[in-house]
Amino acid sequence: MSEPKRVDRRKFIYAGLGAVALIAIGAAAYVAMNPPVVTQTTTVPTTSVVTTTVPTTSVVTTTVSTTTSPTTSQTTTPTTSTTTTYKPTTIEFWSTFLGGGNNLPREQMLNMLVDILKNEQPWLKVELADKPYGEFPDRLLAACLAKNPPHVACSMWMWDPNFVPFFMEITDEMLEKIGVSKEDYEPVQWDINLWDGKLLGLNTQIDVMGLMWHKGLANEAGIDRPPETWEELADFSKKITDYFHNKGQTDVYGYNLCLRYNHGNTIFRFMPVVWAYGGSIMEITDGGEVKVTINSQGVIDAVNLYVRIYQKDKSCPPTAFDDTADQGNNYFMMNKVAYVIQHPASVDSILNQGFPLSKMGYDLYPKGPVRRAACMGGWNLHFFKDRIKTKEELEASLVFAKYFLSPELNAIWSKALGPGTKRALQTSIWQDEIKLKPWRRVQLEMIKYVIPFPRHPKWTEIALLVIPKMLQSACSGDMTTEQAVKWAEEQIKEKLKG
Amino acid sequence: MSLPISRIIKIIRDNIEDILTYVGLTIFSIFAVLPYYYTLLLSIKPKDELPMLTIWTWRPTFEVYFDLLKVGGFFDAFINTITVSLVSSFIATFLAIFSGYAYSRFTFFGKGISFRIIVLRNMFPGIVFLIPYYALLTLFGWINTYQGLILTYLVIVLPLAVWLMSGFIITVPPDYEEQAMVDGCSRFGSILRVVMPMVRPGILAVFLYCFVMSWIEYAQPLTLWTTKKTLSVLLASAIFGETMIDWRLLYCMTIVISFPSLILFYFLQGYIRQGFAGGIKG
Amino acid sequence: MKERRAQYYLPTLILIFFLTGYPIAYVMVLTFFKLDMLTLEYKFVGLNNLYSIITSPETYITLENTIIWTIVTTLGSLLLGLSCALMLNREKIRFKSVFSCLLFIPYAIGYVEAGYLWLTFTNPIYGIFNHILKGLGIISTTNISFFTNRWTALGIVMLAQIWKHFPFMMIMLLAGLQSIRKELYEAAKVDGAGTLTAFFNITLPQLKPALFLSLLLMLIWNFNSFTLVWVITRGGPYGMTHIFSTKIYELAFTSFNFGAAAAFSEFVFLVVFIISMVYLRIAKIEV
Repeated sequence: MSEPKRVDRRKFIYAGLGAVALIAIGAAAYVAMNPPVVTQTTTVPTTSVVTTTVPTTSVVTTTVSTTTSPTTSQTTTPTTSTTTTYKPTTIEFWSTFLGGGNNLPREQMLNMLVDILKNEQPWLKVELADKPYGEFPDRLLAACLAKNPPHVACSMWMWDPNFVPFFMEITDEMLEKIGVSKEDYEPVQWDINLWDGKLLGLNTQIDVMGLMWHKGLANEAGIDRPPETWEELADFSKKITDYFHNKGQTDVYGYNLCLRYNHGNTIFRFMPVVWAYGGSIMEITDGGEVKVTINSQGVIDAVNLYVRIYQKDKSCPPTAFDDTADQGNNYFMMNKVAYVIQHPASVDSILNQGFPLSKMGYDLYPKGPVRRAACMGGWNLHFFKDRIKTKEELEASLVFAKYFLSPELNAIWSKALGPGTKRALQTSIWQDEIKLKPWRRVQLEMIKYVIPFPRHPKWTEIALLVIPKMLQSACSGDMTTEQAVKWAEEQIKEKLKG
Repeated sequence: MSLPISRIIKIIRDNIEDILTYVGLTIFSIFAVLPYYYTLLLSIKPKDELPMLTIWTWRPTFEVYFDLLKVGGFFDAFINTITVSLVSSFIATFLAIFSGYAYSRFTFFGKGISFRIIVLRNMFPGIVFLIPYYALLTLFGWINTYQGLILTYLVIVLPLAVWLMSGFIITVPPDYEEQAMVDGCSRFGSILRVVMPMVRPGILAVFLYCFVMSWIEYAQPLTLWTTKKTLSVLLASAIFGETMIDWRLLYCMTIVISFPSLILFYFLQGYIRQGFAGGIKG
Repeated sequence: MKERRAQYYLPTLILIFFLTGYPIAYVMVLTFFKLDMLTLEYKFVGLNNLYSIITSPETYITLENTIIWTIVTTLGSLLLGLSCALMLNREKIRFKSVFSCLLFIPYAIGYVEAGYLWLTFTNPIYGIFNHILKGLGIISTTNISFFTNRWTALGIVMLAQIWKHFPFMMIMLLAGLQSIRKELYEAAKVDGAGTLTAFFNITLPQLKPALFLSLLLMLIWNFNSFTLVWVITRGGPYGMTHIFSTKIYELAFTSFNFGAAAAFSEFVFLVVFIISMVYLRIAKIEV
């Protein structure tokens, strides 16, 4: 009896020791390697600051408003004007920046930012925390509800007032310290952060999409220009689908319709059509009253366009109900779909994966009978009341924001998606980008047509749950368009009540 | 001519069960492996070929795997994940053995109710606990620490582990350790020397379960760790971008993430299947 | 004697109670409130949340889905796991290590990745699942788009869940099979029993505790499973493949209706509690 159990215990102990040894070796190797750049680990003793002209006091005494570093030029050599004696402060910053690919410019920018801060503002230590893109709002909300958000965060979801109680209002005094003003932004970039007359965030970049179309497929079917109107898009889509299906290639389609439930991109691609036809979902008057305008001709026309593409012409991939918007990229690359509404950044990715430039077309959205319209995405910088408690933390956050929004750094950050501040757009980084890539010019042009979403706490729910349901019911034929729109109107009214 | 045929038939009939077993195992293995194999094939396609259109490629390459290793912070995330998984597995198994023993042998005040309450915890979907845990850990200042995360892993994993261990220990008649205690062992010692070897496959199964659950856990480290990351969270950042999903990287990640669990299983499965060699019974 | 015994189970119990009690209490209390997101005020609404949940038709679709989902995935994992465990337990089979490693693979993959894996696998344009089904002769010519229809969507997600979870059952039952004394089989063989008789008269009864426990654990585990359904369908063609856990998540993080999410959790808990009490009572009579 003793034999097997002794063997077992020995093996068990050996396995345990082996695991511990592995961890120890790994930890030793880790310590021997360079520490990761994103986490700032140097701390500054309280009695002296790196620059030479500082009196050695250990308590924060100096006033806040005078000698801070210059706002517009980024130099890495510390100037003698940084004579502030701030207590070493750590702030936490959340965003999405890891993982390479699209996020590479963001990661680079943050590393540069940390380096610059090390030299110019050594009292300031920043802890960078990254969350994956899709999970970011949920995790931020969880942290806010648990009363422990970060000091500063750069987050997407610009239309969601549900975070409003957590944001700290940005006063004019704070704006002065950060060094930006209303003139640095396009009106939409500024207004999107206003709530109830208060400024709650600062835009770091705006994102507008365009129409990406497959010149190869279109030319083969006899089309040599992008569609002018949404009706024409449906026509072209049908033409391409019919042409290829007759040739026997039954998995090639025209327009990549997006109908997925609980998916942001569905609403992003539907609203431009609605606005183009002159309709709207709901409107909020200046007095704060909400009018539900969904049951109108514009919306019905827009839904009918979708029904036409999905049901009558069948010129979109049959998986429209559950494809994510980026599936469109896959289909596009595989020459299976001809028209996709996408970000300029996607164009870069697709071209990098070997798609020939000659077959890539990128133009403005089609327009409707009333106007040409687009949705706006983008990222904003916010400060959080529950975390910024002391004067030092506030100062630290403002200094961080100042560097964040300085032209050069903002240009690198915003290159990943779309233009940031106006000054960033003037830097050589952006100018080169615009010169090289025609789709950036389209993006800049599209900014003129942007219409922001209605700002209401229930909008997220309506946009993500009710609208896709309405579209899916109408497209699948379960309800007629009028029935579906009426159903949606009732749903919205009910949600607004509760 | 009938002789060889009848001999063949006889061989088949004698071994029909084994043949059926091989057939069954093969079919089920194909079912289990097929999606994984498909992912593997898609992940070795070179970067300039379109990702999912064709399965086979004439130029298989592992270049995307190297991209995976180059993701910033990969090594740190790997160390974090291994540490957290191993530590929580050891602690959970240890606690489960003794609690399972208590549940199967003793009667104590509140035994029935506490048993049900332990199971109760698993009746709530895990997401319900995320915000309260965040608040709770903030109270202790344990956000972004090892102990905070391990604690939440323990709470997730322990109920099942305790239940499983009690189920395994119940099959062992109490005579053996009573015998050992008569011979002079303490109860603790008798558990270690008598009971544990007899339920060794159960212990290993529970350890495996704890390890795998900790290794692939995604929602807890995503919420409760801010600047530190585990492997699944880090790779999710790399893959799920704002405008595109990096499908190639996703396929590689699927393959790579499964390695430690598979390796662990490879070493443990012999013990789980053999049970314990040589019998005390009878 | 009593104090010496307590040290065995007390640490675990304290840990679980402490870390479970607070969240559950939080949820129980939140059920009766409504959180106004703009002012962050908790408004007392009494039984309003529960009432709206009980009277909403979506709740019953979700209930239906969850019941079907739980039963099918648990039974599927059970049958598959039991078969594999029995097969791997036979003495004369070779390559046991290889087979068991292959069969373990689905369990070792993360849930999120498994979800996207199945999305790719079942895509009608480039996935191979349709090709396989055609090869097996199950469907004729057109590719099925699985997620446009509630039932095919549920079917695929359940298949994915069974695929993911059956190795767990297999391992638990394998470990349980080890505790059956070999002499019983030898005695049966001497008495002339065939394999099937041995299975029904020896294996099953001896395996009962392990089987019962694994089954219940699997039921609860599948019931609360969230990630696969969320990643693959996000709730499905207009909310038709929601199961309880995904509906709660959607209520909390998309509708920002935390009171309703808490009330839904409570509703779910009551349902499960009642069912499991009944189950335990029945099982106690048997065992």
